[in-house]
Amino acid sequence: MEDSVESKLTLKSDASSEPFLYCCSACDCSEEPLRGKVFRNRTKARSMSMPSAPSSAKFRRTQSLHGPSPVTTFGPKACMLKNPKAVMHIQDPASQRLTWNKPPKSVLIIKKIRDASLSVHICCVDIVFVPCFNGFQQKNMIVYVERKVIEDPAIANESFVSIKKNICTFREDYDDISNCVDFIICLGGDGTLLYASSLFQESVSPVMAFHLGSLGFLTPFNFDTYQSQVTQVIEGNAAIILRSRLEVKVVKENREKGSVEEISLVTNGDKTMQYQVLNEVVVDRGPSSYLSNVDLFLDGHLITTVQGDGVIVSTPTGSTAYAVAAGASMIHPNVPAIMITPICPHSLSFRPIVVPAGIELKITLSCDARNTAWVSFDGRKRQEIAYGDSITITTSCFPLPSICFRDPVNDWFESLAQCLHWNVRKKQSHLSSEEEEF
Amino acid sequence: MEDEPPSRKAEEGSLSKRSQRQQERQGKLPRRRKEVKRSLRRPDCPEHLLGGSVHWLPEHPGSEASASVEDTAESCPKRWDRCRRGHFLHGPYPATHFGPKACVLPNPTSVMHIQDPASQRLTWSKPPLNVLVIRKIRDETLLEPFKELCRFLVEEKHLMVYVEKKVVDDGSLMRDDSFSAFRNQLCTFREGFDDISDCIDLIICLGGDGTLLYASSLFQGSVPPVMAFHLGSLGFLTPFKFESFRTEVDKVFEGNAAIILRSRLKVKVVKGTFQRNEQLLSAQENGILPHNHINNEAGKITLQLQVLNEVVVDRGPSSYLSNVDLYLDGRLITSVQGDGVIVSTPTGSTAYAAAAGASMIHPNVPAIMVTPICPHSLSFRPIVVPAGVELMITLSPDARNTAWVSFDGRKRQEIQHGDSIKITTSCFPVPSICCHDLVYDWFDSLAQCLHWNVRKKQTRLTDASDSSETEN
Repeated sequence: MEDSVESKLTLKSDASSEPFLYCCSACDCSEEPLRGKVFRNRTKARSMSMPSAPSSAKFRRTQSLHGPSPVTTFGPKACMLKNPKAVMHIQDPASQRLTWNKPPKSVLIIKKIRDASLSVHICCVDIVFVPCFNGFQQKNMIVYVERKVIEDPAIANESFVSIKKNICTFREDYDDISNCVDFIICLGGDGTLLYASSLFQESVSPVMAFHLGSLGFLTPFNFDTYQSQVTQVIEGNAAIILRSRLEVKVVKENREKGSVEEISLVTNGDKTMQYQVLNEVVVDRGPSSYLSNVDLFLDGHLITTVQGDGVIVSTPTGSTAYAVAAGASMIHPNVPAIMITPICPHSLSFRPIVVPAGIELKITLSCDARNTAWVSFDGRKRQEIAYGDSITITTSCFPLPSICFRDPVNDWFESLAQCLHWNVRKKQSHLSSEEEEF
Repeated sequence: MEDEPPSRKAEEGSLSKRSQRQQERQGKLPRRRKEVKRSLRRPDCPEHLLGGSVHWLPEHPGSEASASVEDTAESCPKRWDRCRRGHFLHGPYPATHFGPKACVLPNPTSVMHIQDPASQRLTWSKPPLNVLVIRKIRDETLLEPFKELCRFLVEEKHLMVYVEKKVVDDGSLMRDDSFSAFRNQLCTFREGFDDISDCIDLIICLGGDGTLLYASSLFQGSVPPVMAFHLGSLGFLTPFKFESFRTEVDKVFEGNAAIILRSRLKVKVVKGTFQRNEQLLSAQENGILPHNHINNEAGKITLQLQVLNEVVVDRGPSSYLSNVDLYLDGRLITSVQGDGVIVSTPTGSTAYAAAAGASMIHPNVPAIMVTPICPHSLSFRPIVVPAGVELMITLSPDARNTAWVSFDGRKRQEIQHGDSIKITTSCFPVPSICCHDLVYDWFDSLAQCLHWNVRKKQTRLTDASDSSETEN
């Protein structure tokens, strides 16, 4: 039943993930004729005239989503100094596919505990949860569920009680299931994905997220056809998007001056906590009425001081969450970047900025600050930041692999339109007669 | 399973093979070079990846990978000693194993190898001989520095200096006797007539960000390295201070200068591809034109340009809202109704796009920014999309007027029904030589040029009891 170890190294050929060679970095793109001629493995080039509804024609990429490899010769005599030790190998995010080394055996089902109305909640259990569970049972998979979900007295109906005993439970904050779960199913809103992210502080198993009502940003699948969708994912090569996370370290300065002998030589008694964050890290003024006054360092350089309600450091995934409310632009999850957005800054010139993903940020209380600051991670684990404490933020090497419904680009624009009604307005009608413009 | 020595050698070998091939092409004339490239239609993909190697590159131990073959939880090195910064500017390698059983399907044909932007350095395959000096023409304060620089380059560095005709034909320069004698040693060219794109080894810009845009417009293919000096205040694209130009130029000639590759957009204006042209349709219906009439102009690329800052599509002189459709990778994503839309590079995000309310993007982030100009909509937030997408802008079929497009503020032209503008990231960036730190320079210019978040700082409380009063 288990595949041999070598199987994970086999290249699977799949029609949906056609190997595709990109335009040569040294070729003269300025003279390039229509894109049809660049393709390989195509039986016919694209015809000259495009159909009037191009979105219906299947679009073929000519280059990586990351952008073309830049030409490294500059004019006749200059070129880039080759440094093989600092070469990055970037796989095209648009062609990332999921594959299983061994068939998944255990699945974690995450669902919201407290839904708006009780009837909706029970309905959710009957129509969603129970069939979902049964589906996995049929595949001989072990199902994990958080204890609070199972013990919710509101859902003590018959169908649920009967399956209760076949579910493995774990307690959040007590049991670490990060190495026991092969696959994660999220049922309900975007919050379930944030919860999944918090359970896995290192490698995250693939996540398939279903929306039950309207389409969510992080929940692209419709529950109606979940059975076939899940089977497809387990058996095939689903498209995935690696949602980058932030690795946040909070260093709290040791304030106990008395115990000099007990201070460890390495850390000076400073307490360090580490979190993986999917949306954003928020530093704000807490309950204080004073402006927050925090210094922002990038790769060791002080770049600015944030005075106002606070600052948000977010991933591209989080750019459509709190950051968008604070006035930031929206970043596609495949752009490798970190977004810094101020919250109600008391400044006329503090525009949000987008910085490369590989930098290291450090946030500390300014020495002139009148109050302490408060930090929270994806809205959780809120704690106080005092003088001498620091928050260090970098991009984590453990992204959250989110299974796509269609592809990373399409899914995102679909959710922009449906969730945020991005640029939806009544369209101005055509002029019927030939009138003068003025 | 672990036979990494041979595959690693193969990778390095193919890298040097590629650079050799590139160097061989240097000496050829422009036209011949293009033909050579066309016959090599098969791209320069590292052969070893196609040769059936089953090792997925990021998992090579000893290479700069973060994910190991197994046990990703423990072995994830986040620091690389060799890079000055300690990690890649685009972020760490993402772990490619997800949980105990899942991983990314290896697909070596879609892997790109690029130099970490933080470690990009310039080197000369041959010593530079031809320098293009660009100076803003209507600025009196630049005349003396310009003369000083030219003299230095010609007499001390023994270089061939190219200048645009309008630059040397300046009245006050002509009146300067010492310069007139010297003027014969300069090589002049006329913009729009002479093509110098293959003759220049280095570009030096004096005064203002516009000089860099001008340099970019002269080179529609590969761009020689650009050194840009500011004479007054620091500019966004002009990091070098003119006072120390001698030492700075010498340093660049030595090689090893840090460069930032400012990505450009490749823009094509294609005439009449859409058959929704009403006149055409009605003409066909009325029997004036046969049904299979093909617009002879259809598909013709009337303009192709490389753009450093942005492409602006606006309503021109018309008072009506512009009404353009925006397609991304073939999919209609929205209609822009308002004054227009800006599609910009990260470099351009601090130009017009900043005025239109966009966030500011660091030049090392590979992205394209789409910003509306005065949109008549309450919900049109600017978006940042990956650099590899293909955007297309066309007039909406319902549009009441035509639109106008401009490229870095130049070559303004009208867009009719049926025309389309296609935009993607170019493979020819502008290599901008950096002054201090590749990443940090940008924040310096944000502070100095735009006074980013500059305000009077709130003072601290002197008496400790004050803070406790207001805390509830």
